[in-house]
Amino acid sequence: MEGEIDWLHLVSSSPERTEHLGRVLGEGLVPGSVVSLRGDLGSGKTTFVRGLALGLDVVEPVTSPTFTLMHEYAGRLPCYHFDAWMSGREALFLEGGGAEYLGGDGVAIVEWSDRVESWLPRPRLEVRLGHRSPEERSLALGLLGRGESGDREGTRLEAALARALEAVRAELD
Amino acid sequence: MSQAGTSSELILGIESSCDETAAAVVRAGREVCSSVVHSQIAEHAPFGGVVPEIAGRSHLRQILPVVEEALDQARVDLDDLAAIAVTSRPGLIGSLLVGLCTAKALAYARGLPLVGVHHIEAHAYAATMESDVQLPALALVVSGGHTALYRMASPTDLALLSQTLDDAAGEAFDKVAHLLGLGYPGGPEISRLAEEGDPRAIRFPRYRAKEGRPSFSFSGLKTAVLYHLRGQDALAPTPAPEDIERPQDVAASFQEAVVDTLVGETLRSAEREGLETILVTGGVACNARLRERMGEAAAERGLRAVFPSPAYCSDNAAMIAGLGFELWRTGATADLELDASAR
Repeated sequence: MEGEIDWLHLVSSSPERTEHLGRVLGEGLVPGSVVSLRGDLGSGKTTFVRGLALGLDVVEPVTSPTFTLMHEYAGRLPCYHFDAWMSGREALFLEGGGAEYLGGDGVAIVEWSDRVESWLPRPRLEVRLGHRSPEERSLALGLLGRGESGDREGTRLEAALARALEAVRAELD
Repeated sequence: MSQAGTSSELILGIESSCDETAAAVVRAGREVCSSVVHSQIAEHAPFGGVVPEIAGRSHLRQILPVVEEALDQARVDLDDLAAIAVTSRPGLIGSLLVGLCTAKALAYARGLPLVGVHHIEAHAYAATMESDVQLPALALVVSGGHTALYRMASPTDLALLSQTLDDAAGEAFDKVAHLLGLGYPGGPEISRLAEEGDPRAIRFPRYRAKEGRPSFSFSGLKTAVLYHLRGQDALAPTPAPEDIERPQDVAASFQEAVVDTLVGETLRSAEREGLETILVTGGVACNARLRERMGEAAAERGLRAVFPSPAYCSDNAAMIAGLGFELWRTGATADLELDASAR
């Protein structure tokens, strides 16, 4: 029910700003969080992920996982960074056991998530990035699957994700 | 009796970290008696990149025939070997495990020492196998999964100086090749098309690391290519490959920007570190334009750039056996607990 999502729309004027917004969101993530990212080549997905990782206290450099399909980073929570650019490869990877990392003990971050949509759990946070100009990027952040959780664990996760999103909104005021 | 005799300096190397199943027999770290590589490229090409599940299964099918062929070509038996060296990291876990388990089983069965080899260190070592190289040297390892500079004090002592902040150089080739409607892997395809193009036709940006923070970056370049294809309109749709004007100029100009970035950062590092020899290795080191430009730029500054032959730039087991010899010689052997690691 995409129509019911309360999207938080914002504009970033620089990669530094995009990274900072990711960091604020990352600081609020809890075990089991899944963050999906959609957006064109060069729209700032990896930059936003770098911020998410900073917010999770990951000290290692965050680089593109396209080649190896998933990078794992140790932060205050384990951080699993997926890239579904080559959707056929990523789907086979998820099918071959990679899906166990989604919604487990850590935080899963999925770039090009629209290409593996059916694999992704709800509730989850989604970030949609787009080009506005060579420098500016539009961002829309939303909580998918609000109110769908039938168990206490899901409800708790949903509440935590909603709080993480609110922290980004508060950042704008 | 095998023809190779009972030399105690023969090492069997096994490599299966990504999408090549390879085995080689190397004497004393340098003399390659055999080097067999079974490439899985055709199996992964339909997906535009390596699929771990497919890679692991393919390694399983190929590993024993490849090892046997390497021993046959070298005309040695397992009993002639001094040790077995195997890539234990980094790479795809499911792929690494195939080579590792094979090496462990052979080592255990024949009572041979086992040596775990770091794949990236072996790439750097490859550049020292075919020519006499004075160490310390600067090593640029550039491939589909890595773009990094190391200070190589000895074959077994590499210190990371800088690496890519985002995409590996080979990955940028793959992504731009995809935009241009070319096949996988992108490097050779772009390189071929670039031969017909003008490298100065489009001035793509060159990443320049901030002072005191040496690094590479290819993400901005990839975006610049995308904007060029969209006529500098960020909101325009990406044109279909057949609608791209003069794709050969895009390929040549893009390749030139990658090469400029690699050459520039490498030479600055060599200067900063006071190193006179530059080793360039990894799959992208096969790129003819990179070999040409790095060689020229190094010579202009009185430095020496060394490239392994293309066969030893991309993944192979000769480099594993080579570095394995150095490790074995210094007593750096592993036990059967040796584990694979993705990083």
